[in-house]
Amino acid sequence: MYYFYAGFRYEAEIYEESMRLSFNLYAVGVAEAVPESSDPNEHLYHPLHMNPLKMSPKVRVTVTAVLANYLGGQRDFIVEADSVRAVIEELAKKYGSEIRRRLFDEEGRLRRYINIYVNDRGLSHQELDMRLQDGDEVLILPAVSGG
Amino acid sequence: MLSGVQVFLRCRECGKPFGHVLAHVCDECFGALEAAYSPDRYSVSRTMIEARPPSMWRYWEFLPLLDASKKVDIGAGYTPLLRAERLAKKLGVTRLYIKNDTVNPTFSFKDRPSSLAVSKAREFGLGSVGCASTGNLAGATAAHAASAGIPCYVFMPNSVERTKIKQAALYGAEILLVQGTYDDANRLAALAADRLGIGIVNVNLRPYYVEGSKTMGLEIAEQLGWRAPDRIIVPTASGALLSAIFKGINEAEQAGLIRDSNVAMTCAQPLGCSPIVKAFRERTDRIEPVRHPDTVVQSLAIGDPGDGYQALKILKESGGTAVALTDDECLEAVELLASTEGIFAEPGGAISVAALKKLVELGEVGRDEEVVCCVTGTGLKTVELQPEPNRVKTIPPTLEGVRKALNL
Ligand SMILES: Cc1ncc(COP(=O)(O)O)c(C=O)c1O
Ligand SMILES: [Zn+2]
Repeated sequence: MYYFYAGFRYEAEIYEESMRLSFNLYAVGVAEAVPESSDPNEHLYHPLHMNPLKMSPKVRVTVTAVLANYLGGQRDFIVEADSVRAVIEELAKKYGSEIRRRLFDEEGRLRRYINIYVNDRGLSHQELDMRLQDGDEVLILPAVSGG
Repeated sequence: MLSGVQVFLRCRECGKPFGHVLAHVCDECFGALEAAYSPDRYSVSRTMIEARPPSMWRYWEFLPLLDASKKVDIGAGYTPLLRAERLAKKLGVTRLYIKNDTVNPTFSFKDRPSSLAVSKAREFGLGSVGCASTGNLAGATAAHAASAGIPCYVFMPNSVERTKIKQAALYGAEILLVQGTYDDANRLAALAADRLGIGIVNVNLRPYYVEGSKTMGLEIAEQLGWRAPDRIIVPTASGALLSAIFKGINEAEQAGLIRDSNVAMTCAQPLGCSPIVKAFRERTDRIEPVRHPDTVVQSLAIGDPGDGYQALKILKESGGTAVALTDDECLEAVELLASTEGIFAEPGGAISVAALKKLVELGEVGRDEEVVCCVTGTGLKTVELQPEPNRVKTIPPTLEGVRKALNL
């Protein structure tokens, strides 16, 4: 299933999934999805390659209740950003800079008790600037004590 | 019975106080919350405790349940502390005890925190419970949920031993085997707690859950005649048990039940998943998560230890140490413990014995120290991991056959 986004096709499984689960999605500086096209070659066009304006990838961001405190009470977002660090910047723009201060220390390092996952894989500190892809899923969780 | 708030939560990192609430993470610094007690809560004497039934609940004043009628008690705790003379001789030490937690209702120490967490779930009026488990917690949570009559949802990696999966399922829990590591299962459990309102014992009920494991420390103190040993060696995955035992000993001291405790907390992890040991040995203050644990000791295969920093702090503060053991060393320790003391543990439980052996060999533990090895889970659930014993012979049904087989 594909949607047009800003004139280009956008693989939008995340929209479908979210609709299935009836999550509330809060778009951050992002256009609405537009109806499907009928071009059979659609899947060949990748937005990153096609986009002359080098639009940032559109990713889904999920947080849990304690972080929602700093994000207007919301827990699910669609954000356009090139990296996880840029995701936080986008969220800070929209919901206030508190979130940045909560997640990063004075030197810009991720705080010890925060884990960030992209597509279910935990990120190391060095990967915060890693290039995100359209449709990536970013999860921000307080480090949960297991055992 | 209840005079004011006697139990409350506070942030372990920044100290921010929270009330008696269902929360597990500080909203200021995201540190873990821990249970704290108003001082009068500890007003209890040795004789009062000694007069109570032999279960973990005899330490009521140290446990964060307010309403005794919500208690879910299937007999966890008050397990034997055995003087292990034959094993001590083999290892070259003089004063060795085994805290035998293989004899709990579901056969691991996890019954202690589960008993408390499921009781708290009832007190908070939660409709269901669950856990993320490396195997043992699954059975423990499921059994206590069964006794409480509430649904239980278990998240565990699909690499866990079949017996542990079956056991938990037989108590009536829904089992979700996650195609991934424990850390994947834990992440899903955290989301389930956040989005589905399940009382995950080691996630959103965690501050209460870990208090149950303190009773292992309190029991060791009581069973030694109200004092702490020189050293306690703890099988470690997330670091929760080690931290809780130390908290238990400290609180016993604050309550005046023991004096001058000076216990060296000691951490044992399997080499293929030993992030806490690595950080301790390399003297770094950053714990590097192990993305792909590589060990047969499934029960200790937690790559990203939630209580790792707390455990590390305690190891340093208490003058303890940490050691990693190979799979073979753990499997050999199972046999050594079974054949010298009659206690059949899983490798993740007998690892404390392997650790003592190694630390004595390295000269890091003195031969005259008084040591307690915590043995935290039964060998019956992991029996397939042990090599085939060579003492098994098949014989014809005749006396002659017996004579031949035994060379008698
Ligand atoms: C048998 C056994 N011993 C010890 C542990 C370690 O517990 P913790 O995660 O609290 O360090 C576990 C944990 O799952 C276990 O199953
Ligand atoms: Zn805090």
